Amino acid sequence: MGRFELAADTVAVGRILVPGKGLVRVGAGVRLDASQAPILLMAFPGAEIVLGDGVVIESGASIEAVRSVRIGARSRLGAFSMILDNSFHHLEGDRNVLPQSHPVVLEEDVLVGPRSIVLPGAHLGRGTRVGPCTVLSRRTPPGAVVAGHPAVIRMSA
Amino acid sequence: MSRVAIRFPSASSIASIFRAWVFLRGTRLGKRVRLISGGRLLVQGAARITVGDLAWFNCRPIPTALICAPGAEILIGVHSGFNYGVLLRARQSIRIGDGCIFGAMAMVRDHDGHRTAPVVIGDRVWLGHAVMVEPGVTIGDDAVISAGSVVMDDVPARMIAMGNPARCMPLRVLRRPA
Repeated sequence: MGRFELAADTVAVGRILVPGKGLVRVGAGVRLDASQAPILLMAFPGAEIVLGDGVVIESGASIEAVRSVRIGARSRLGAFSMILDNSFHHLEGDRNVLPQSHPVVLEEDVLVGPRSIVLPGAHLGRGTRVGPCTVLSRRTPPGAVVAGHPAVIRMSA
Repeated sequence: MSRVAIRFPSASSIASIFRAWVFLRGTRLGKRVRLISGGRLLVQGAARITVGDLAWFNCRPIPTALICAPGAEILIGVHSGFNYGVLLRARQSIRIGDGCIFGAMAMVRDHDGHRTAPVVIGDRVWLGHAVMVEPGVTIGDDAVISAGSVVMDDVPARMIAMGNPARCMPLRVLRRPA
């Protein structure tokens, strides 16, 4: 069991799985709503998952960090969304060797839609809104609206 | 590049082999099939399911399901791995080759309510997170399906498919200098 640091006023409903040996830091007033399906916060050894103040995570969402996943204050992860900072296998060659990690950063007030996938190296600017079922791996400007697979910026602030 | 492979603590234990044997009772089960990291494996129509040697399943937090209708078949090759929440649903035939990797929440089915057509997945195919494979699709050896893709057409060998609907490009396009 890794280190699990909890601030005040966290509300959790249902099962929250924290199987990794890394650090999971949960800010003040975080709401983890796993009433429909478990939430997975997997921090591998030496990795960190940081949830800012007032983050809301809905059912079935999962975060897997090999190095670092940071989620800014007041962000919201939709149901069954997924955030990864490592793709876990190489495209070619030996698939059992772990590839390089690319940290994922979600700045403040980001909305991630249900069933979206945030891939290694993504950096979502402040106030980005990500539509449902979006798959993205790039940097988005602040206040953008992103949707589709592959993701397209539909609206810029 | 870190040369560390992630291994689950129970990955090679006798307990994981025993758990797989319990949940896959009645299937044609290969040697040293493992159910790593606990959880439940949902199996229907076990008699028509074949699981090859050294296959592994991860069923936590969301159970993996192998559902095989009467008269259908599911063949899983040697050393294939299934992450959590994978759903294989066969009404005719799903064939999976050797050394495949299935990402979490991947879904393969050979019927969609309108038509039924067999699905064939080659050797060493890597399906990403939440990939959906439609009926009648054939995926060639060494292909990679990007996370969240919906595969509607055949994917040739050594191609990467991405998007909804999935479009193919050769893997060497994405090759970066080491």
